[in-house]
Amino acid sequence: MSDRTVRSSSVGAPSLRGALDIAFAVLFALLGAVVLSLQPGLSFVVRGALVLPLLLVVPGYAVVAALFPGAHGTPTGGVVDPTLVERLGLAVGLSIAIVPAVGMVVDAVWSLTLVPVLDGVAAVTIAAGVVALVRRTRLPVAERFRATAALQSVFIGARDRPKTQLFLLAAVLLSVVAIGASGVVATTDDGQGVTEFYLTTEGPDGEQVLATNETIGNESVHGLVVHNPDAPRSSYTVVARTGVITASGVSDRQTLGQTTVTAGPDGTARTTYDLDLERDERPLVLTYLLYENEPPAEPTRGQAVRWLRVQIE
Amino acid sequence: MPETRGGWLPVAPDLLVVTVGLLVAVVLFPLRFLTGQLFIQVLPPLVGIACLVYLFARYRDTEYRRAFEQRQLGVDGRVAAGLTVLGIGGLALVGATQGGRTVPFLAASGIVGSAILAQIVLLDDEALNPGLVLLQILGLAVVVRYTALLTTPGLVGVDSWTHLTEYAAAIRSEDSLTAIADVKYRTAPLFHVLVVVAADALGVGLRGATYASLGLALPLATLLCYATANLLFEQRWALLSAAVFATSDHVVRWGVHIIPTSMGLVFFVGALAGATRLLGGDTRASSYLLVAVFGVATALTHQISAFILLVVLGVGAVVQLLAPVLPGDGSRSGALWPLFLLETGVVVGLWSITPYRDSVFITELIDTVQRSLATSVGFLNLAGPAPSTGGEAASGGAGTPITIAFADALGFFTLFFAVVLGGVALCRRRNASPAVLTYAVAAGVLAVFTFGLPLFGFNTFLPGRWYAFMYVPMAVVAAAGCRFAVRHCSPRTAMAGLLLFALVLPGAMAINHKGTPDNPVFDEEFVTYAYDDSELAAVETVRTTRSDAADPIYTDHPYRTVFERTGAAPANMLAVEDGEITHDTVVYRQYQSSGAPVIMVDNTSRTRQVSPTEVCRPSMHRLYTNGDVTVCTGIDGIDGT
Repeated sequence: MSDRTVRSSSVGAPSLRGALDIAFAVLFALLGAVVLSLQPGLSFVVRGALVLPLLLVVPGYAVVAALFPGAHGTPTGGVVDPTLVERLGLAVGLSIAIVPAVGMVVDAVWSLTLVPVLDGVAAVTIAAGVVALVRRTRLPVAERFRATAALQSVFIGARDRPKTQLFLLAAVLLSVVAIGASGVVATTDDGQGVTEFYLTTEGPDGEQVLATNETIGNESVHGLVVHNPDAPRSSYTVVARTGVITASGVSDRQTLGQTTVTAGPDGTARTTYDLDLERDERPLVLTYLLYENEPPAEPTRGQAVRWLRVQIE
Repeated sequence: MPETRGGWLPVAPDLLVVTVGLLVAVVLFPLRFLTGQLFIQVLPPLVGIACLVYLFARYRDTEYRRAFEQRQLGVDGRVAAGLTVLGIGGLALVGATQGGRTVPFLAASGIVGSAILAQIVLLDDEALNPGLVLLQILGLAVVVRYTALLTTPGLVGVDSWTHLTEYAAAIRSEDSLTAIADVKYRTAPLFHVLVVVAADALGVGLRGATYASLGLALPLATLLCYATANLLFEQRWALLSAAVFATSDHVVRWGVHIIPTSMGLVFFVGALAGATRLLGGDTRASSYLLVAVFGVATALTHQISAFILLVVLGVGAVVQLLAPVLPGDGSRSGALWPLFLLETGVVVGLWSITPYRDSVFITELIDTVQRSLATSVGFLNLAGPAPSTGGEAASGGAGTPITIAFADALGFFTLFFAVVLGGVALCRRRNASPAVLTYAVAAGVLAVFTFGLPLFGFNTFLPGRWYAFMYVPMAVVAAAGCRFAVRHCSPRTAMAGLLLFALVLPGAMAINHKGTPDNPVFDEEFVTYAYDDSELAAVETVRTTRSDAADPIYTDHPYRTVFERTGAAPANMLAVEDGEITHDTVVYRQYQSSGAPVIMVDNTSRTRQVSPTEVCRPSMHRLYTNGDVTVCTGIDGIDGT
């Protein structure tokens, strides 16, 4: 049968069965635009299920449907339309081009906000869907792309050897569960947090800033900060020690005092240390030792969880 | 079997190409005595051997196609597919429990990749289910990329920090593209707009939005690679192309270091899919539109990607112009030259209004090219890093032991061998068509930009960025090489070769340092472009508490880039001069003593480990610490209290 014979045979009205994919794409784009415009308190999973297809597949799919209305394997005019896989690949590529392109247009005439962008994406999808529907209708029924038929062809042979099929299904399900669980594990905070210990001084505008070599030497009050957002309301002990710097190292170490501080709900504890050095020896080294528990009788850097050091000449 | 008609060349074109290949191999071979550069050592012999293998197989003049097809090695692909799918699930668990892409994870990913390639080359036609194999390829691609993305705090890479924390964040806060009016992405904002829209739509941060949108789109681009190859070859070889593309080091790289280059790669593959349709005879307006849309999208996304696409479209147009003297029937092909002109017009137009430094992009580009030609170009002037490191900041390479460098590049060499074989085979009259010739020539031309120009010290086009794009035609041509082996070598030889290819390629690609910027296997040789919680906590604290009047900080590369690009502090590279580090304010991290930090040593940037006391000297104030990171300053100006 020649192409011409086929073409003249059964060109007819659009059927829902032959345009389910287009209808679904259009409805999905509309649903996404409406739901996200209303901004209900959706969970991340529901929001993701709605948004990701809208950004990555739907508009591109509608455009591909408009560009290539024919089915693969039924040469139209000597050329072959894309397979389902090619359509999906092109849909992803075109979608991530269409969405930001709509964003650029929206930015040029309005401001780059979500609702007009989603409305624009829905408009492009609807327009492409209408074109796709019209172009499909102009083709003979047998030559039209039908997503259902394409999907059915993917599962050809699935009923052969049911045990093998069962094994494959079980493997896919197990793998999906494993990947999902891995994603949860990978994104779950281990709760350990990072304990930061640093010294602040008064900055030019009176606020406390991270100490620098310019600011610290002239300060008589040192601000000490302990921060671990994963450990709110934790208690720490800060021990201040001095020693005299000599040619052979540090000698004559003494404990000047210790302070116990408790972190607030944000995990931050602050204290100040008023330097009142009675020792005349110079240069001195002043060490702040941080402990999460009670400090030992003779505190050293090795036992402390963190330590800071300031040299005083 | 007689050759089909076509082309006016007096000799068989494949023999002409193979002769040129052998000549190139012979001419370039002595370069190994002038430089220790690994690629110069390996590539010429590899070209020569591949050409000799081709000649040997061709002159046996035996068709083994039937023998291979009757091998009956697999009858039901679902069992193998099920086992491999289980392997992919297990791989995800390994990544999650190990907290990243560790060596066991990469080894396991190589095994799973080999299992997929083995299915492609071993299963009978009836047993080979393309949908199932594609599912496995995509599953592996997603697990490999998301393991890196989800287990790495912050962002992977260097430029990602600028694109997200600077450009996209500014657009999001101002709800306008005017926020990036002064940078070159003003005329190429698609990446940033997509990320901002995704972040608003998903209600998450920019990092999460990038990973959820482009992080997923990049592995899905493999579908386009498959579809493109399927327009040229049978499904088996299209699947092989897709698998090679998805597991390639630089393709993985742009899947974990997600920036406009990544998005440009997706559009590039889309444009090639359209161009392949055109060259294959689908001359409908739809195909032209497809290439045009992807071409414009590329230009609106990334300048280098657009230039690479321009080069490939130019190659296709030239191949078509030369069609009368080339093998193959090009009479049905659509014309690429209008698309090449369109893309040229769009690119030149956009670059003419793109702000760059104090001028416009195109003027600066021309100036830079002229400056490079005048100053740094000369034969074997391998200025800066090796071509394999792509002209970017030193990331290992120069002082890397040859065994490690070879292991790192083994995947590329394996692919390159198959590409040479396939490239020559595609020039044979019976195989040739404008589409396949375009791919063969494009792979060669992109290789010239990637390897040839750096050989002369010309790195202006950032050759490191070309690899992933080059891998698209390379994956297609390599599949042709494998197909040639199957058809012209004895079944035993072909099977041995293909099994070797399947066993080596995925694992070798998996361990390449470019594909593992988050956790390179040879972590004392190649830089890790990712940071742990402690390192990022220090950056954040410095950002929020540092006085604007404070001195710039000095730390290693790439850590300094995070301070700079997040706006935490002006930061420079640590410098060792006369064996000492003498900066006023330094940031030490444990990586500087255990990894591959890049610092300045006597005015040259190189990988060198330093001890904690070299950086934070005992005579300095130690003002910040979180266990892994320490900030120290000098004691100038201290007068006691």
